[in-house]
Amino acid sequence: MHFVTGGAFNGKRAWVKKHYHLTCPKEVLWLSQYKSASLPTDVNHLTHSLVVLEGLENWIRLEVMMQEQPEFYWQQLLERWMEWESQSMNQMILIGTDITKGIVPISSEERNWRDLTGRCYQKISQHASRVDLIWHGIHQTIKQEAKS
Amino acid sequence: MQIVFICGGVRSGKSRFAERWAQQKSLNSGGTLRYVATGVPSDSEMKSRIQRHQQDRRLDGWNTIEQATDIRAVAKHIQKTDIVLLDCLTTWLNNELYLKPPRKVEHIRSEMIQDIEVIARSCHTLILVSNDLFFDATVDSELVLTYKKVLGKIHQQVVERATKAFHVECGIPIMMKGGK
Repeated sequence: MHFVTGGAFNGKRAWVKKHYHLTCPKEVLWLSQYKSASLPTDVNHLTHSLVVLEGLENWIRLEVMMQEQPEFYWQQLLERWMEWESQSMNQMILIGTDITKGIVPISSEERNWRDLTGRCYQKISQHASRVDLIWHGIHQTIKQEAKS
Repeated sequence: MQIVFICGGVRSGKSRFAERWAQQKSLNSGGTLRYVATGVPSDSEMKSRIQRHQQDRRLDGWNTIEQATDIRAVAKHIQKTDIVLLDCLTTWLNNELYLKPPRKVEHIRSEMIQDIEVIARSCHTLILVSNDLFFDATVDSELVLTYKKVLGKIHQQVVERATKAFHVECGIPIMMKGGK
């Protein structure tokens, strides 16, 4: 699992495409919340061995926040994705915008969203084998496990 | 041609760092320090802020060129050895958006990048300061989204062209590009 994060409009998508040499759309199942894709809770529907999930922060707001136990729900999702990843050559790349560094939002819903997003990202980073921060197209690898 | 990009949050110390960097550079190049002032004195608060800035810089040997839009016009005032500082890209972008007749944002972006290239070619070092405003947790309106998107794209294109890029946090510059 590779987690790619950074501010909005910092070139995260472009970096992933460049880093993984994704020139042909057939090589990858690219699910973007920005294009209204839904969160893949069922891994059996994944048609490719390389899957990109883009727009995590929005899925967290729209599909995770209203769960009774959002963090537990997220943990289970991650476990399902990791289980899928452990099979053959499967790999998942998660792209999430960092929304945690602005002024404290006035609405409690936005505050909750911000908190939950931060916690979900920490969970991803715990499990991810690699984490990159993207800053205006430049990446900084902040975690990388040795390949086993 | 050298472009230095310096970006950080509000009150991160990015302007101070940029000014120090410029002064250091001008000692090396022997060129004049040019400050491109993009601020428009729209009200009394802005007027007094601008005056204050002008006084501060005059003491330090800066030459100020006022240019709110179409920054490439500055090229005729500068020389090959000069160090040019533009602080900041967001003010300039605002001016392009709101002081001029409406145009497509993509068009504005490509013009700004061309302006930057023209200025960079006619001086020793062009230092561009900008604001990091890509980290909040609000569901943005279409207008704000468009603004962030175009600013983000400008930043990425500037970083691509930059010889050095710094991310300033709490007064500490972190070199993101151009290290040895």
